[in-house]
Amino acid sequence: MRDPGRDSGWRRVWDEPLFKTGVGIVGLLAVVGLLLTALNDIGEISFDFMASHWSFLLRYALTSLEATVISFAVGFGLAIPMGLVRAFGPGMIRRGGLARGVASPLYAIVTGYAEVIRGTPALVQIFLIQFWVTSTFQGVPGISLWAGIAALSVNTTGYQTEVFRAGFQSVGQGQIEAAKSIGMRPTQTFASITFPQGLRLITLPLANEWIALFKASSLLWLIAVQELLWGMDYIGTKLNHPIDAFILGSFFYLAILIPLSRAVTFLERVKRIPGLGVAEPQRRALFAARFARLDRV
Amino acid sequence: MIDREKPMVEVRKVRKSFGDLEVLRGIDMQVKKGEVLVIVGPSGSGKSTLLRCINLLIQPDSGDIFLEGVKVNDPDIRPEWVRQQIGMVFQSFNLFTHLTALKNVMLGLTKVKRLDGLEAEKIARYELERVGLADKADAYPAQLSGGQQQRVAIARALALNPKVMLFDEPTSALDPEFIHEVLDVMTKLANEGMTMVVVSHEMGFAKSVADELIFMDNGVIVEVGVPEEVFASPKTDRMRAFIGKILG
Amino acid sequence: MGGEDASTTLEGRPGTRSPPSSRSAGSLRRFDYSRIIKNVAIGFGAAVASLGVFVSLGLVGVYDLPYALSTLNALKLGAANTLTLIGIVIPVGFSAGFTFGWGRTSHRWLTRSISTVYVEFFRSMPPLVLIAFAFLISTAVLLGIPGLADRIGDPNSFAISVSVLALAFHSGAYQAEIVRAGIQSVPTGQREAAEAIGLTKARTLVYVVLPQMFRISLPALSNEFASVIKDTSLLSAVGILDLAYMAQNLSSRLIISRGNIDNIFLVYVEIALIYFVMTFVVSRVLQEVERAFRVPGLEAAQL
Repeated sequence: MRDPGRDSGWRRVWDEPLFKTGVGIVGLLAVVGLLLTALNDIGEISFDFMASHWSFLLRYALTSLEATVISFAVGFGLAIPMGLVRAFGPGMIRRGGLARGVASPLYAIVTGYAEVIRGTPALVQIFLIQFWVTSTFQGVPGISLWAGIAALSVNTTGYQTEVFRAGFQSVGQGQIEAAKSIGMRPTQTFASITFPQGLRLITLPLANEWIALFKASSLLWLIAVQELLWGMDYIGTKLNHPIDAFILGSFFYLAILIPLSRAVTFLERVKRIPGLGVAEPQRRALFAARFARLDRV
Repeated sequence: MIDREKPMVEVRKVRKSFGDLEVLRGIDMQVKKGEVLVIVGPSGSGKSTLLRCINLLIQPDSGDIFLEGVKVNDPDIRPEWVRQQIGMVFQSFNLFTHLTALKNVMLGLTKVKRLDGLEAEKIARYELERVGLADKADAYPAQLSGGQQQRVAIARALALNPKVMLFDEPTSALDPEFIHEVLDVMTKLANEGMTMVVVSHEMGFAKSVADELIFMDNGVIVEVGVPEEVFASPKTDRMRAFIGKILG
Repeated sequence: MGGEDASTTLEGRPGTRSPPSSRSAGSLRRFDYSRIIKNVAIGFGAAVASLGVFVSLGLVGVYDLPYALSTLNALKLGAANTLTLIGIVIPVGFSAGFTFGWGRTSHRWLTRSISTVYVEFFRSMPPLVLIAFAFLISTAVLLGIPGLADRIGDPNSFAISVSVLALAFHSGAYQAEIVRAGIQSVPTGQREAAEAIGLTKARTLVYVVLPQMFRISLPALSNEFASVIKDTSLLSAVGILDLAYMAQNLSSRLIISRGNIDNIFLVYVEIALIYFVMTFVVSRVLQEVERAFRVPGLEAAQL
């Protein structure tokens, strides 16, 4: 048949996953480009219009990013102690005595908070918090953005609490016993074993939460925050270019989210410590959990 | 000689229940300095619980535990202080998955003994050398074989310079070809005069190394004696049945 | 391992007579009706009790009970519309998800590429953007083509339907990834073993791959369904009178009529409770299904 030696070089290049992905992306861009050109030619969309308005949208995209980054950071700070309560509260309660007196109400409050946040739509939370913030701080300039950031923070705290709980809980009992056996105190055990291992286990869910939060930031449009979707809507309805607005806006969302999620997946794979977390066959099943959006929005 | 008379570890009338299940029902035993004690018994007989009571990973319900004559299961004594002086090796190794072999050994030195990094590293490398794994210092646990992981775990315990070492079935999770390397390290330790309490069914090890053997069943000590004699002429039926089972 | 795999395969084929030993294993039980009845009773009791607490709080004057009663009609309409939306979005989304998830594992590169593009696009776009622009663009296109609007009837309801579909496809992209992961996590050995005993490809799929995939992906799917319920609130943005719309509508009416502002919180508590009950019921039911079909060795990984 064919001489295996002759095309083996090309074969090897072709089999390289990066090369395949590259060809795929170039091909996709070509198809999309052709499609857009055709639409441009029949006048459904206008390249000139997009070229003159992308910087207009950029400003609002930055607002979306700002809201996401701030509320994610707030959520991260609050969720670590709350995740601790969720993970270790039941154990403290079982111990009885003073520990029980302190832990029971804390555990009940944190669990209730996480359940309510995860069980109700973000939109409903946003409406309510926006109403409360704007009626309390009437007339403060830029208050609607801060109301939105507050609402997103409240929302992401609930989700991140569950992420941390899962991370802390999945650190094995043997690891903790071994730490105790070399004489480490509970705080040292947490700082040297539970926290670093837990943090590695939750890199992906946490990145997932960031991505979900960035998408949720689009809801702020509905409480009149001037973010990316507001800008898209402005171009779509006020300037009457809905398709152009959609293409431009999609470009911003995809340009921010797809490389980011790819980078996180890649980093996690490179930085992974062998044996920590999930065994290889289970990783695939975990994939499902990863792409389920952690109960989001 | 006088030293050898003083019990390093003494356990008096220790009882422990989990819910309705009484796992230890009044255990009395002692280990003198430099002695090796091997505990055998069917699974569920309370061997592991006894070991965990000695270093207070489990608090006994009643009874006393003494380390060099000091009662350690006392509310005034921090369990961490006790555990520092008692090394423990687990059946499932329990190496810290996120740390390299070297860092595993160093952790106790830097966090518990508060040594500075350089000194801790020196000690850690020495201990790894002692278990024959100097070249694996930078490997993560998952990159080591079971036998190597268990040897790192021994080095981790040794690094804190313990007075006693507890071994909880150190070879039962190992593939047969790795068992001897762990037993070799343990034999070397015993010959160096380490006080050891070993839960294990390795009869060869018990016969050649142990000074005393305890047979436990159902939370009580059934037989005590010199290993050779106990194996050769068991006094109780339960012991005889057990020996029959493990010899196959 | 081998034993478990064998029982798994038998599990997917109720018609196969399996040896009595595998039937008697506790974890192979199907629905444990006494458990289910007990759970339903507990759930019902809890619902009645909390409703009782809620109403009696109103009776003692913690909140404005007459106002709460006056909102009931609006809430009923909103809940009915939300349920209708769920009834449309979940089946459509699941069909799309299954098709494209299957496509993602196909050997043909074109099928694979199309599915990948679908998944990456719909998953990366915020659902609200998809909904808003499905509405805007379909309205624009409809009005842009002369004569079409008349033939379609009400252009507004057409645009709304497209928005609902957009949400379904968004959810479908997530479900596609779940389905794909489920299919891929069935080891190749299972497929080989099935083909080795002479099953055709289609039968291998139906009797070996799907039953295992279903068990592995069920928790993730149930998560996704709970998300979809909450996502339907976004459709209030295009004017569907669902629960989230009612929340806004009732509260703005309170502001305009200068009513008691505290009642706004009351409205939101009511709406949140209804959503909470919906997500809770769906995830509990699916949890029960998962438990009923669980076999040893096929537990889904969860983090």
